[in-house]
Amino acid sequence: MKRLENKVAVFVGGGSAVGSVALRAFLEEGAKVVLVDIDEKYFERTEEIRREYGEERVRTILGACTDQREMDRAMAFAIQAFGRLDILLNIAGFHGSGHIHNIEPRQWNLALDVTCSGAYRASKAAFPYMKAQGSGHIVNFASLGGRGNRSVAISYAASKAACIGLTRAMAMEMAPYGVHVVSFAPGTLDTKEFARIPEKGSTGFKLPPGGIPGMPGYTGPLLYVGQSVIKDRPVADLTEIAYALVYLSSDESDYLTGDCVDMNGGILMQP
Amino acid sequence: MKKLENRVAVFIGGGSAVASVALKYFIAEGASVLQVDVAEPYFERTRDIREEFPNRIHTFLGACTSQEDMDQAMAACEEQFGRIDIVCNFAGFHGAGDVTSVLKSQWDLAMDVTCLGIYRSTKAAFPYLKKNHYGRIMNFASIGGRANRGVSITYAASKAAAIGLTRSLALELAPYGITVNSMAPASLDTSAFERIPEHGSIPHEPPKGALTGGPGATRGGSFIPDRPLATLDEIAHALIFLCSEDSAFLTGDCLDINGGQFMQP
Amino acid sequence: MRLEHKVAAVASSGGSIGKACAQALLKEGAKVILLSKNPSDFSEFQEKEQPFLGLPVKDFTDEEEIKEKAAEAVEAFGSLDVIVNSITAVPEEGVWNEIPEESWRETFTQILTGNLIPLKYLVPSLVEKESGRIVIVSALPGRTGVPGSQFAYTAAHAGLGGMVRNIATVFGKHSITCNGIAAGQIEGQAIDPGAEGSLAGILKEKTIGTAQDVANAVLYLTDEHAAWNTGETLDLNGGRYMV
Repeated sequence: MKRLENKVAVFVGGGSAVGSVALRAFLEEGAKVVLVDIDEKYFERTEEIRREYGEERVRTILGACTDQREMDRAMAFAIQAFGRLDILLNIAGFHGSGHIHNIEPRQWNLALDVTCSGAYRASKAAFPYMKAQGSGHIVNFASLGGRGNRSVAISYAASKAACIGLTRAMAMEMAPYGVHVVSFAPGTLDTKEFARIPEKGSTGFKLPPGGIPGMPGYTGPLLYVGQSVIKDRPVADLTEIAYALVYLSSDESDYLTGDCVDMNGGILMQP
Repeated sequence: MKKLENRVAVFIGGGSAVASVALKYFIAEGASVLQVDVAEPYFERTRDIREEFPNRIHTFLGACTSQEDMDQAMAACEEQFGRIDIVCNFAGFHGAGDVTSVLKSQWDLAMDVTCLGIYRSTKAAFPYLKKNHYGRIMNFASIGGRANRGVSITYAASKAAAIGLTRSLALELAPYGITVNSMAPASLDTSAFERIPEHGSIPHEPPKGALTGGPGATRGGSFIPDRPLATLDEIAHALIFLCSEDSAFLTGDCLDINGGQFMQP
Repeated sequence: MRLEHKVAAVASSGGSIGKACAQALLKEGAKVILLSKNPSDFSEFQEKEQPFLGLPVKDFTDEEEIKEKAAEAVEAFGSLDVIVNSITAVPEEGVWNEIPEESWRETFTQILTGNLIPLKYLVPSLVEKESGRIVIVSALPGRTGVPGSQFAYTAAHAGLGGMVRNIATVFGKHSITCNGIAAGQIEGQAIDPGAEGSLAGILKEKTIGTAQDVANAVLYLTDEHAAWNTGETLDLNGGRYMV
């Protein structure tokens, strides 16, 4: 028996690098998947694997998590296509750019609207189906940037932290119905295999002077609390991220809810 | 009104650098203090201020590894100052080694002093605090018990255990008007004090090639410009807060005072 | 199989978690050595033909005994890749300042020192291989205040968190990861009797977890994809404490 046999998953922001790699892991573990994203070009990344598994296992639908109706439609589509809904991965995020003194209101609003409110809208849309089934797993893709002292854009730090708070609130609300909600906070991901698709509306994030510890181009102090402690591993491998998501989406994690699961090479060790 | 007017505090490990500086501030804020430590040389550090305030600072020789010593210290405090309001647990034993090299004797001593010593002093002080339905207990922990620092395993585990013990005691003592908190600073600027070697200690060698932590990292880790270390005065101010009436609704907490090196999410 | 060709040592004080971990690791293809204070743990494993060795342990805090047992464990299948600790103790119930020192001291030592000593003698074989996974199973009171939980039990379990972070930090340079699982109330696992009733989670029909839930988390943290997980403590508690 595979780890996600007969489970139906919806990936909101499914065309992201993370969503694309998770797709393979989820399909290999037996799940059926609906990818939701805002533009067809995000789906191009997974064309090959989608062809390999066919429409019986993986479907796509356009939709933005900034619009409740589109989320409702995406979940209805999953039910229509595969008959049930077990897993919701909220991967969609908007980075934004800027610091406290110079962030444009639009960047700030959009980050909160996508990263936090988007997870809420998608969860709201999925919940009736999960409630009716009496089971479900919702995983909100947060970040170390919302958890530890990382030099990220202020919109990113705030929206990811908000997403972690939202996770706990939803976990409390949904626990009586057997629905699990967790957040997942990885450190920096190795996405070099994927050509970057610029975020719509983004002014682009500029690395803080000196860069991010452990990343190429980093010029700050080498011994640094908040650096990966694992030899030769400054960043996360997307396949590793994908398998963490498999664990968090499967029945294996049925006693886990509300938690923010870290995966960061020891950069932050929550005491 | 001063923050600690007429309060009586017991400092366990009262001859440590941090306690010696805190003593000055506690006196300035109106408290009387019983300094408890294991050997006379520790008290030398505070000779001047003791001579200045002979009626408000007393010393007592005793170890937090002995319940009897703690009981006697608290009884002496009550006898000399008439009451007890505050217990600050500064006593700690660093110890040396990582998981594969640690000696059991070092491990046992670290646990016995750094963690279990807190229990003994709290137990000894409890009857006096209970009588006044008021109390402040402050346990001096460390970032080494909280974050990814290349400290010795004795230090990391005993400080983490002390923080856990703080939460447990906070729950036990809340009904009696007693709050229990811990504080977890990063490295302190103790350059004004000559080091007194820990009795029984093997110095800790920072792990070779560790990617983080150790003295090297400590000095680069703070996010506050040009401030790698905390001054003992800053620590004392935080202590005053934790030991005053101002912190009445704070209990079971661990205060991270580390220049932003570790931010508890 | 997720742990094929791996060798795992499970050190257990005898509750349901250690046994479930050994079973799960075997099922995923690992060769397993179970060091347990409860020798009846071994019988069901030994009935079947499988790569398993049971080593009875009298006292996990006894360096001489554990040194010997650890050597046997490492020798059994030639090397070691995974170490799982599920070592706890049942504290005496009572008023916090009335429990005799020898009793709470024993609780504290059995838990905290009891977790240290097996690691002290098993970890060198991971260092030798320049790789490995360590998982330390602790209990919820170590993570947050739990009313009724005995102070020494609480402190020792909190200390395990410090131990996890320290080992992760210091041994990352050998590509060894170390993580914790802070379990809530688990069926068949002895808990702190004073905390009973303060531990349950909020999930429908799952306020109490199973040893299998813990074993699943152990698999998550020990498989090859968990190479970047380190220093973490997973709060596996059915929603009792979220952080």
